[in-house]
Amino acid sequence: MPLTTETMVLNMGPHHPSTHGVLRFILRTDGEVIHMCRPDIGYLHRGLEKIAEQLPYAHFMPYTDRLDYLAAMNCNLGYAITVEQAADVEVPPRAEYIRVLVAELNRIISHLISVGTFAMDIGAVTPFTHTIREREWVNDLFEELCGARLTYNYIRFGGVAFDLPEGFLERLSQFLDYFEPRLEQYNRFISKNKIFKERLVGVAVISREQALDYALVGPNLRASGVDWDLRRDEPYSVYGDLEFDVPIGISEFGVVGDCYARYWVRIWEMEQSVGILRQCIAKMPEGPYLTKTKRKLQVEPGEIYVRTEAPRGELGFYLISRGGIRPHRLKIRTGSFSAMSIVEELGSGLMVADLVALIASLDVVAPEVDR
Amino acid sequence: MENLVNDLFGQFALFQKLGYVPTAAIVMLACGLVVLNFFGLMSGLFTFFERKVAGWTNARRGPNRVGPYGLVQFMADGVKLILKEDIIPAAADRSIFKFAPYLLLLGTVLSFVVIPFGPTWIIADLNVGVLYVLATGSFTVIGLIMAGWASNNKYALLGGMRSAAQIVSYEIPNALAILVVVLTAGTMSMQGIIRAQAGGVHHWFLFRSPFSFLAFFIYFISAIAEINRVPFDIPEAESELVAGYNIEYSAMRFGVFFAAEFGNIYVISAVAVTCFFGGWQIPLLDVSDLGPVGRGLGNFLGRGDVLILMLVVALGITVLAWKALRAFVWDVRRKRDFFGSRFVRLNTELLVLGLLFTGGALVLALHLPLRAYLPAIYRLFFQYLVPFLVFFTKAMLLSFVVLWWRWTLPRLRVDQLMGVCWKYLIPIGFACLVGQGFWMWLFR
Repeated sequence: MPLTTETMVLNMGPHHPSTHGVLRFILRTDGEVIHMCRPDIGYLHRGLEKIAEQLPYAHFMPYTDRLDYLAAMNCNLGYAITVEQAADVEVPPRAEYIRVLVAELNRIISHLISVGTFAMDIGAVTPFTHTIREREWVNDLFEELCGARLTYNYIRFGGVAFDLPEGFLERLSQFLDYFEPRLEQYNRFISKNKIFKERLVGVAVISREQALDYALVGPNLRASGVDWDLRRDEPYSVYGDLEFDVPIGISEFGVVGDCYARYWVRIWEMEQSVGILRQCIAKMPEGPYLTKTKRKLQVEPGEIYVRTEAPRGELGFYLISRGGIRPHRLKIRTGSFSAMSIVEELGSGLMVADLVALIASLDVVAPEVDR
Repeated sequence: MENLVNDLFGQFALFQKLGYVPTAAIVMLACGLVVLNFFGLMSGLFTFFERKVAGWTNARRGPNRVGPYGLVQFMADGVKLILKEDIIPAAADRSIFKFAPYLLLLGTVLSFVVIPFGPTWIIADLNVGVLYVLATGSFTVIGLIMAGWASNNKYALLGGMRSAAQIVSYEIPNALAILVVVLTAGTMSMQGIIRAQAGGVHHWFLFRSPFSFLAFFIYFISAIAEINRVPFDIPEAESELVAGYNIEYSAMRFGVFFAAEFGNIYVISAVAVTCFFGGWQIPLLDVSDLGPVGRGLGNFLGRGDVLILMLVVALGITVLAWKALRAFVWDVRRKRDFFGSRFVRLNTELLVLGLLFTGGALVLALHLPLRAYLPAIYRLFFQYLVPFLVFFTKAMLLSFVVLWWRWTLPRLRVDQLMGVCWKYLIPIGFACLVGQGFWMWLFR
């Protein structure tokens, strides 16, 4: 009997430990090697953009929390800035600083989850619980601030919902003092682990051209060596007054654009966010935290596209208004969605274990893909 | 076991009446029960141990609700697993699916037969002991492949194939490392290997020569790979294959997989202790010298004045502990503060210890004829209990390393795993074998 081999179709997901939510990948594999990998999305589609058309502007704010539940503040911020620019709403300086503060804090905990689950997908369980422990502290801070621990709904048109509570900035600096050495601890613990490096260095390299072609954004784009960060290049809010570096992928540890570079960019971004937070604490002005706006905000007819830098990259809101209290159309452009599209090209030729590393390194969050 | 059969047969009229074969059968049955129970207890305790280690590394508590310190958690889990519905997928190959976990279990339990518990405590001191352990260890792969195939699930199949490739490969360095030991000891019998390491720590094979030192690490790494623990847990890689070969299993069949896995941790640690850490040999002491020492100690402790001293000390401990307990218990009830409760727990232990001491001393003092047996009791103590505890402690320390790695290291990829085996461990293993032979010729 002649020996023949066949490829097999392997369904990875929608329920699979490393798809971080409900994503599905249809793999055609020859044993362990993937010949074809097709992402199948839509399992978490909630029609957020359609919902936006039915609701007054302010009522859509809680839905942006659910856009990317790991970075609800950043989504709030993006939407708020969009509507404010469309409706010409002034934001007091204190509110701007508070917004940047919560956005960067949220970036830190979003990256913490990313780094922790990354390690977990590579097989190390412990870093995740440690990052979760740090995140818990920030969650407590947020709870103090707005009463919620995950879906904050904190930012309002014209400011933020509540002023900083008494002693908040001190407690925040306490956290930062505690957190900065932790980063070095993670590096000793997992980032510089030999096996961890072996698994990630040179795996699923995204070249600069590919990254641009597939419109990757945020850390994924910067890991491929593209020096682009909206916070610095198109400053919104008060980012123009703050000093920070934009980490990009380097070839010191491996190849620019490999999984390991994407991991490091996130670690460095957390460091930078700590710096931004310290500046915010130092510069925090006094004054009002919210401009009074009309209960039902009206937007003049017209179009506007506003993009902000969320933890998963560029978060764009394309708002078309035909006047009135509801948007005619609200298109949301998210980082995870474009990250998913590149999986198909990179997937073939990888091993199943590498695909897991790739998905983890792109830091895809399912609700952000499907919206 | 043979000795026990002969003793029983020779000394008791009852067994002579029964005949030799029934006596042997009874002894075998008893030994089987002991081994099975020891295995069950070990794997149960290992689940507890692993979860506690996981708790420490993960900055959380681990089980602490069922029983003292959560010790009985594994029994609760076992009961739960037994009570759960045993689901067999419709498309599965029923008979193979049902049988596979037990084959896995068989491999582990069979290994316990040659694992020594003390100088004379061993079920069967086979003259091919280590070879037997290697052989039973390979049962695992059949069980895993059967489970992977019979589940009719692609993830399970991938897991089964991975484990086959992995275990077959890692058996080679495993055997090579053991061969170094066999070469040094000149025997394959487990007890023989331990006896060859008598006379202090520097006689342990770990420190005999640089080659046997290296051989330990080869053995340990490949043994961890053979029992599918992190960083070599690719057959059940959670983030890739969900659960690998056991993905379709539920209820007690699933539990059996894990019982076998945890039992295996003890087996590989015990074999490592036997081959490299001097088995039940007490560090810095030679067990064969302990006879007179034990007797002397027994005579000393059997003296009346010593007994009275013991009694006084024990009563002192008891009273002190009781007073401290009473003083603190109210504080704790009010504040529930951590220091207080830990203090109380410590004192409770002191109290129990003191009471035990007092009771023991009283018994010894009142029933003077017991004193005559004291030397025998102490000999028993040093010939059975202490070696067992020493062996057990060493094995547990090694097991701790296995668990510690489990919660610290990431997982290798399939090809890297093979690379580690074929490119590094096997050549180094061969070099160790040749080097050890050369070393022995040089320093014979």
